[in-house]
Amino acid sequence: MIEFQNVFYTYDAAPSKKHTRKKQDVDQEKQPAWGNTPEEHWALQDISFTLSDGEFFGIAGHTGSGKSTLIQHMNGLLHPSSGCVRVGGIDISSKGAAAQARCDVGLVFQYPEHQLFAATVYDDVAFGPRNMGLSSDEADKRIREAMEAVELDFEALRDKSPFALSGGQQRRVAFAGVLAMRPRTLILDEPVAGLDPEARADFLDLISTLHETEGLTVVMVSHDMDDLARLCNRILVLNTGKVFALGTPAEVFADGPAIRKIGLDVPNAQRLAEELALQGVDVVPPCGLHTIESLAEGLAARYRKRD
Amino acid sequence: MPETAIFGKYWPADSPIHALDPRTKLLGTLALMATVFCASTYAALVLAAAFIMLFFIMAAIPLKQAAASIAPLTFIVLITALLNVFFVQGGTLYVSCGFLQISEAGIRSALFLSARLLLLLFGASLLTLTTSALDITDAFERLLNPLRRIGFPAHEFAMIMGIALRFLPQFAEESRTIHAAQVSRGGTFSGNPLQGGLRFLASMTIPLFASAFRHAETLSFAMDARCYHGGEGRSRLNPLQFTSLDTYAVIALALMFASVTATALLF
Amino acid sequence: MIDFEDVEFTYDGTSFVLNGVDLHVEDGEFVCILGGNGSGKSTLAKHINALLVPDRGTATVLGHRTDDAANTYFIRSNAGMVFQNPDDQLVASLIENDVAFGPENLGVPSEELRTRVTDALAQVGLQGFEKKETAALSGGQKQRVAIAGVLAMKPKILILDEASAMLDPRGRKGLLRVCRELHATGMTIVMITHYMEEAALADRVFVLDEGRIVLEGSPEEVLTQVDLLESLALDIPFTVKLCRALQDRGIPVGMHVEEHEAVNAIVSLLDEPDHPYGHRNPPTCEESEGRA
Repeated sequence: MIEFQNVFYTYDAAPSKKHTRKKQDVDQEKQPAWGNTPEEHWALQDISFTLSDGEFFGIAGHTGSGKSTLIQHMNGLLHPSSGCVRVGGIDISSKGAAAQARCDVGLVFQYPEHQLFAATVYDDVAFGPRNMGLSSDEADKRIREAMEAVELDFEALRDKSPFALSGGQQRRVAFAGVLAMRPRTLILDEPVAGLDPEARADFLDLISTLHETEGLTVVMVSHDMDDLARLCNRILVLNTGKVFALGTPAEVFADGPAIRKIGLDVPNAQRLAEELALQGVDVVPPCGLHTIESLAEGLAARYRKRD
Repeated sequence: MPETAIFGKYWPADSPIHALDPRTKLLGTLALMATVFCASTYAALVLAAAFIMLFFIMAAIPLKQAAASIAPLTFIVLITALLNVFFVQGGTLYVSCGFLQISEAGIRSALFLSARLLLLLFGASLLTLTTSALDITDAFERLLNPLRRIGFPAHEFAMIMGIALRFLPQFAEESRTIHAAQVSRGGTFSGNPLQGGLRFLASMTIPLFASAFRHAETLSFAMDARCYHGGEGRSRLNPLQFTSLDTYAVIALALMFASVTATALLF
Repeated sequence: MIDFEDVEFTYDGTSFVLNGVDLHVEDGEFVCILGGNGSGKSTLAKHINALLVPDRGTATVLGHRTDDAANTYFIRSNAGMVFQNPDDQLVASLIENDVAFGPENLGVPSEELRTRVTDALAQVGLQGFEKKETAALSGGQKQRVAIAGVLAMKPKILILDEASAMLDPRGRKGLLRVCRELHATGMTIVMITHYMEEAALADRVFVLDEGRIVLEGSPEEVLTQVDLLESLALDIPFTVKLCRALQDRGIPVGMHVEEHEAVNAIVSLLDEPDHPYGHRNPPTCEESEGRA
């Protein structure tokens, strides 16, 4: 369980590595007096929500709305300027708690294949478990399981250089590297960015399977509203660092015009239903949000009625 | 995202110094440094400092900004001062504590050399504060051009510098992400320094190398696609041109050098 | 404009990435080349601006053969290319210097360079951005600078090699708008993509599979061939999916690629008489009487 309580974050006031004795007046001027910082300097403003175990939680928002900043608070990479983030009930603002949180909360960045570095696939996936101080037997077990979970042939690939693999395989290796730590929560920043349609569908299936079979809590940042609507239990929509909406996909995408005002859109089926409604063809979705199937059903029902 | 404090980062302003041809400024900086080296007495140093301060005022650079731009390198001054204090002996002995000996000559030397070093840093930062990195690269290329006849690849050198400068903020950003990703996997410098620490270091440097190669591969295609073929026959958007301002600058620099050297000899 | 006759190409001498491609693009056309992973589409794109040269067959661009080295700069300056990664195309820290890079290489005189830079930036909607730093831009803006850099060479053809793949929806929209505007001025556009919304904008669509063109035609002809597209691991446009779902349920709606066409078709099929008309025709007397 991850809990955000009135979290504010600004990069300006973050403790910097500058030596204090060299700090000049000109830097002091940039420090915001508490509460006086103009809104633009806040990357996150008053974020409060609680992530339940086993949830599939989506995060949407225009570029620059604070999504990356938000997820980096979830595993203690960043600490709030004010407010509190708790993982499993524990405040993770201390270094020790944050380090511990990273074993439970796995974070997969965008284009994770860009972080591969080891000489062999095995060594790269082993990075996490080794950092956790696991015995080599335990680490080996986890590596094999992780590779299997991402549907990669362990024996065939273990000694290969990660740089010799295809893009799709590389991404899976990077993914396995995080899974090998056996996190209970998995945060994914645009996991299918840059993938072709087939690879995309495969990867989303993989994530969905992991969520269902392992009972992992999944947090997924995405620009694709259809994916979010299809997979998520709840979606958080950010707008310029503030919470714009938080609820089930049906609740969040109910107001099309409002969503479009902040630079996003509703899922395709929903948008088409709105278009049809504007032309007098109102089809009510059975459970709040339209899918192609529900829309087709509704339209078919109307068509049969008119006969 | 916060900007990293780079030594002497470009400070845009509408000043005669900014308007000078970058070649003048590049060579002028060398002249400035030569002048400071020739200032072997306090009187000469003060005169040199006055000239430098004058140039800063003409360049419309606030004192705070000037100080901030050399701040990251002042540790060099500190080290120099300390080395002089402890290792230069002569004159009255002030402190004697076993191996530690501090004498008058040491302190004098430390003060003088620190002052001189500070002036050098200010002089160098004046260049980077008033000239964009691109212009400095251009100036290098033009100045080194004559060496092409003996095979020195001036154009390629400038091109490499230009691309490196363009990718600096990019790599800074990428290294932040790579660092975050590896820390997220438990990477840390604490613990076993030999195995764990080295591995952590590798986990941050190797991806950057890989990224550089990746960028290079596509970038070279992109440059080819835009008909890049080396330095022959290239025109320039902002061709460097000397103006009367540069003539005045050269005269001013000559005056500075002459007067400081004379002062050093006389006082 | 672009004439490929039976082009074959291999990187390593054994496996052929292009297996006899026949491609003909007319002046001013907006064509889209669709293909799955490994279909050879990027390789094909690089043949259009002579970055690669066929091993067999001929590639002719603007009447010039690509395998003749004397033609290389002519072809590359007339067939400009924008790549997938916005960051891998910008060579300078300042925008104006990057946009000027192409024409500088062509030796365009300094006086004209300034005009070209200003015009190119205006064409992509970034007027006034000359002195800004490339590092400070969003992905979408960087791609537009890349396009400006190509436009400054005054090309007749613009090739986009999956140029929107790494952009967010807003960036993608901006890019497409620029493409539509350029096409309206007469530019020939070749867009390599796997996004259906982009393919729907084209005059003609080519589908590439294993180095061969397997399908060719208007977006309506190509993008409605659901079974074939699925077998090639390609996506299906959303509206086509909906139309198929409706057809499966016995609604006689045609296959439409464009959204408002599909909406109109559905609405007229359902024929609601007591609704303000909008795009539809008012009901005839018989229809109203029949309802009474």
